Amino acid sequence: MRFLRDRAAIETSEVAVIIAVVVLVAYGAYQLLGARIAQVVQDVAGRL
Amino acid sequence: MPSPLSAQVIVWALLLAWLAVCVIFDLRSRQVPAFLTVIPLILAAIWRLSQGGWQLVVLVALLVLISDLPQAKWRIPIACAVTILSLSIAGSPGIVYAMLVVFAVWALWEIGASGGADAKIIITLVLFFSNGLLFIPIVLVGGIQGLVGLIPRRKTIPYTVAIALGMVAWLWMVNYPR
Repeated sequence: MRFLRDRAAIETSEVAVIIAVVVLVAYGAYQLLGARIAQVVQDVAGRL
Repeated sequence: MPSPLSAQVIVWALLLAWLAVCVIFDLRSRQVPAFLTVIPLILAAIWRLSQGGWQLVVLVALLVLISDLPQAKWRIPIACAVTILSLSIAGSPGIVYAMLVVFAVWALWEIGASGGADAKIIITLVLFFSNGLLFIPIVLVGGIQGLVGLIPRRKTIPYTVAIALGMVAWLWMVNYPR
């Protein structure tokens, strides 16, 4: 169980900043377009 | 018998105490002993099963197994496929967000961008609360911590600090919404 055995608790500073920016942008996009995305998903599901 | 509110406060106090112990280990050695992450992960999985979120527990179990596949190049594609299949049986939007966060955290660990202890702690919290949104304050605090770390050109940061502070911020936002 490689995942369970790993004890490392470090993260590179750059990666932490990049992840924060990506999540912030994704969250912002979801807030702006969330309703339209849900509509598109429902349309696709309806057609299927 | 304690009231539901006091029971909730006791659970949060235990969670924060656990995170504080993890932070102390992380600050000292940049490592958190496996028992401090694996036992809470198992307890959170049992709790989630008892609350009806078996889909999330199954996804976590599968990702743990996938991480042991001998061919490294197939791990992420297989995990991707398993996560997409899991999303189809998620059952509620809350579980969908939680599954996406679990996959993202696992994938970051798999590519070497995150420590295993950090990943297990975040997955434990997501399993416990069944809410992927708690990942947002954690990564934001982590981003600030990373920026602060970049100024003195520090290569690595103890991410459990961001997890603990992000967790406190999330509990605050949930309990004292604007």
